[in-house]
Amino acid sequence: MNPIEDYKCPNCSAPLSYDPERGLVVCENCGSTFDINQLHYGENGPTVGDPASASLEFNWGQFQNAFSGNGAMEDMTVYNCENCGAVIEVDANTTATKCPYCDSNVILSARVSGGLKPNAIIPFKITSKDLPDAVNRFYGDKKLLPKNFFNRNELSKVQGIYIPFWLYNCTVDGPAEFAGTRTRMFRQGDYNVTETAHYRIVRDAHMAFQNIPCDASTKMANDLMDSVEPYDFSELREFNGAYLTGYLAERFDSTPDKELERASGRLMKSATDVINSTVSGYENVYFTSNGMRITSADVKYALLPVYLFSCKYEGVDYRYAMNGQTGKIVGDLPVSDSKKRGYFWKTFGIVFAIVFILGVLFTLLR
Amino acid sequence: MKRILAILTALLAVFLMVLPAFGLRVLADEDVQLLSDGGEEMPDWYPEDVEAFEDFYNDGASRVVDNAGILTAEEEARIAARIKQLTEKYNVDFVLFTDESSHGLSDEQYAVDFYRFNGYGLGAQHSGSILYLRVKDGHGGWRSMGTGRSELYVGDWQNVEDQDDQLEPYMRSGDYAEGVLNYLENLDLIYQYGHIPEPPVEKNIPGGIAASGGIAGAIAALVAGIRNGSLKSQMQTIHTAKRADNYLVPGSLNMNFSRDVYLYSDIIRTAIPTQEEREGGGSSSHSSGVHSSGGGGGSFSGGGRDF
Repeated sequence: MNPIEDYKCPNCSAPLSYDPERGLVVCENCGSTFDINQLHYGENGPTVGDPASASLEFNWGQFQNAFSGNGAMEDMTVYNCENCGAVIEVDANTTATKCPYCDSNVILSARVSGGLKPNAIIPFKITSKDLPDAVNRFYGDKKLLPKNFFNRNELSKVQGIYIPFWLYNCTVDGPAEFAGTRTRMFRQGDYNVTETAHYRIVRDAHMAFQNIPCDASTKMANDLMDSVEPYDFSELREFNGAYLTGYLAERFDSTPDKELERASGRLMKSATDVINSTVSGYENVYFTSNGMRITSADVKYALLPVYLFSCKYEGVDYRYAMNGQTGKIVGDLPVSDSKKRGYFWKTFGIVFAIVFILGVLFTLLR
Repeated sequence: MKRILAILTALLAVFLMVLPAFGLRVLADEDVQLLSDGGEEMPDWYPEDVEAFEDFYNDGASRVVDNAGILTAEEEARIAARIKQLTEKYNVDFVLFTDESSHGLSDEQYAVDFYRFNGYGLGAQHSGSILYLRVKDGHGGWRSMGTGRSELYVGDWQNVEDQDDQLEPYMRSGDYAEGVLNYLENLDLIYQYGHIPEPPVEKNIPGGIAASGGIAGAIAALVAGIRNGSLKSQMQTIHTAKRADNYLVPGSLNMNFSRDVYLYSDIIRTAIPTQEEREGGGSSSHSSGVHSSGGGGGSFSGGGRDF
């Protein structure tokens, strides 16, 4: 198998790229469009209409075998661009990139096949054209941003990148015990009586969680990737390398076993609250023991779309991420001390004036 | 037998002759009517035949009678002067009467009897009121009873409570004269307004403005701090996800087992405090429709407390 897939137009051999607006793969030169499901890469390049050759998807159980089977490919960090022949170095986990010389889109197919093929992908829905307006809307309601932040920040090159995620499907089963109290008060002769009844409460529940995302790349900050949630997983598609054209992509470098701890922490908190909500009719309820366990877990390897960009303001880099499906933007924001003080005193002044006038009127008129 | 009877008769004669030496005397018929049911000797103003008593008006009788000796001459004069003012203003009688004992009668009855049997009260209804203080060794009680046109004012339950609440600290501290004068001031207000009005609140304008400033500053600082906190939290958009609520499969929750077991109960019983314990002071007794001994005269209403 050719380790590199250089997506070129079968009509004019110009680079192809995925267009989120139309959901098609588009030739940037001749304008030809191709349905992504009918565009496949064979030995002689991309063809249309050929049935897709079977490629082994990621399987957790065979995960270790998949890694060892492609051990030689893991070490490859240099490739020759099929379009212009340039020698380019890539990161060990990069699965899609652009040739910096001829700008052609390149998929490192060896890193998305042979058991490393993602199970699913959510294609980009937001285009890079939408980014400036989205960023302005994001900044617009942030009242404590420094006054000249919009003018002075330098919006670095926006990168649309598919981030590797583990999507966990788990079931939780087991008992939880609580102690609860009910109180009633009544009068008995010349006495007020307070009676507190104590209960032992047992619940045994089964519940399921689906598509809990944990990013599988150690290069991406977990809190940043957590913050761009939620994704609409109804738009998960079967993986096709053509979706990666025009974007960067990363392969996982953190194993599903390692990230399962993070996913299970999240779901156990939610499971605890769910089972807690089944206890009602008590003034006080508290846990005494929690025997709930994850009884089954499965994981999918998916690529999710994110735009990454950074802004430089007064020598400091501020990083941002945008959910490539929903447009949600998160990121560090500088706080202007002068604006903070200004808002405080403005609010203070208005409230003080109103309350003071009311107080004086009350004093004079009562 | 004859000898035994003679000895007994002689012993009886000796006994009767010896009794006066021990200060005892046999009760004569005329003495019986002077005694109350409690067996105490009644004062001189008490009529021998209460049922035959005829009402009269004694203009010259002192309106301040201090049998208990708790007032100085000056205090008596001040109280008498104030009573005279109130009498002229409202055309009803006022009497202050003190004694060490009610001579076996109830305090209400004793007060009513003193009022009637000493000729107090103006007009056909003998309108007026009496404040009776029973004091001995710093303890006792007081009753305020009104009749005729005064009965409604003095006998009103709220007025009784309000008067007694104000009188009690004076009585307990032994400041009897000031207590009576305060009582008369309140009586003046009761006749004017039907009740004791709340004292007017003195306006302290500088203090009010300063307090307004302080409260306004505190509230403004709190509101401004909360608002700034809210604005600052808008700037923090990166959070580590701690929950998976959005990923719970709808309808997947299935309860395998659910059980609530009663274990035991803790019971706390607290005695309900009495009215006196709650208020920290006495509570008034109320009387209405009281008549003087013998049943004659008008009806009296009022109340009072012990201390």
